[in-house]
Amino acid sequence: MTDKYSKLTNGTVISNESFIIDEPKVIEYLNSINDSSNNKLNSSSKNHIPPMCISALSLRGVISKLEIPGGTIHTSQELEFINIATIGEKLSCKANLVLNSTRGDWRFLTISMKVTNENGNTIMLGKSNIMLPMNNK
Amino acid sequence: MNENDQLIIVEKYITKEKILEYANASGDFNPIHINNDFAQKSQFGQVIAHGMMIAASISEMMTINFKNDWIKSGKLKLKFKSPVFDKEKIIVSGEINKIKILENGKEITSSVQVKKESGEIVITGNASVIQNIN
Repeated sequence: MTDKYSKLTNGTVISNESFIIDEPKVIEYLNSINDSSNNKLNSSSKNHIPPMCISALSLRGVISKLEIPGGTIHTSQELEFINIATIGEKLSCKANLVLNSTRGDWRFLTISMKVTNENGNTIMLGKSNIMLPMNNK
Repeated sequence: MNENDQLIIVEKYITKEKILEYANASGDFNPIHINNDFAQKSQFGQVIAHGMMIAASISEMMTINFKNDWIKSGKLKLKFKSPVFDKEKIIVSGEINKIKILENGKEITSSVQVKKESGEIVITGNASVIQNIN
C-alpha cells in the first residue's frame, strides 16, 4: 500500500516556521489544561512561555504541514528544555523527518524538532513518534 | 530531595469541553479529539484527549516540584500507553530514581506516570532536571 507519506525520506524538512506566542495565547493554553503551576515560579521566570505551550504550538506546524489524517496517534514524545523563551519573543521551529516505516495498516513517523529564538539560541529540542492510518492515500 | 522520594502528585478531571479548549489552544484539530462521529468509528469508540494535553500535566507536576529548574533544564521522555476519555480522572505521579552529583549542582531523574482511577496506565516515562548550586 502506498500513500503520499511514502515519499518522505529521512532528513526531509517537514516544517520551518516562525511564530510569536503572546500573553493571551499563553493564558488560553494554561486555561485549557487547568495549569496554575506558574504561581510556583519565582520572578526571574515571570514572563516565560511554558515550555509545553511551545512544544504544543511547534507540533501544530508539523501537523499542519504533514496534513496528517484523522485517526493519527501520538505514541511517544521526548522534550528537552534548553533555554527559557519570553512572552512575545519570535520563535522558529524546524522539524525534520528522522524515520519513516510501515507495519500492518500503519505508517510510523519519527520527527525531530528544534525551536530557536531570534538570537539563534536553542529553546527546546524534541522528538515525536506518530502512527498514521494508511487508508488515507 | 532524595532517591525514592515521591513527587507531589497532580490530579485532573478531563472533559470533552477541556479537550476542545486544548484543541483550540494548540491548533490540533485531529477529529479523533473533537469529532464524535469520527471518533465513534475509530478503534477508541469515542473522542480521546490529546497526548500532549495529558503530557502537560506531567510538566505541571515537575514545575510544582522543581519550580524554575524545571522550565530551565527539564527533559522528558514519554510513552503514550492508552487514551484518556471524557469524564475521566487522571493521577500524575513520580518518584526520584537517581541523583547524580554534577560540578555545579545535581541532576535528578524521576520515573513519571499518568494513570486513571482504575489504575490503567496512560503515560509512562522519565523526567530529569538539573538543580544548580547558587
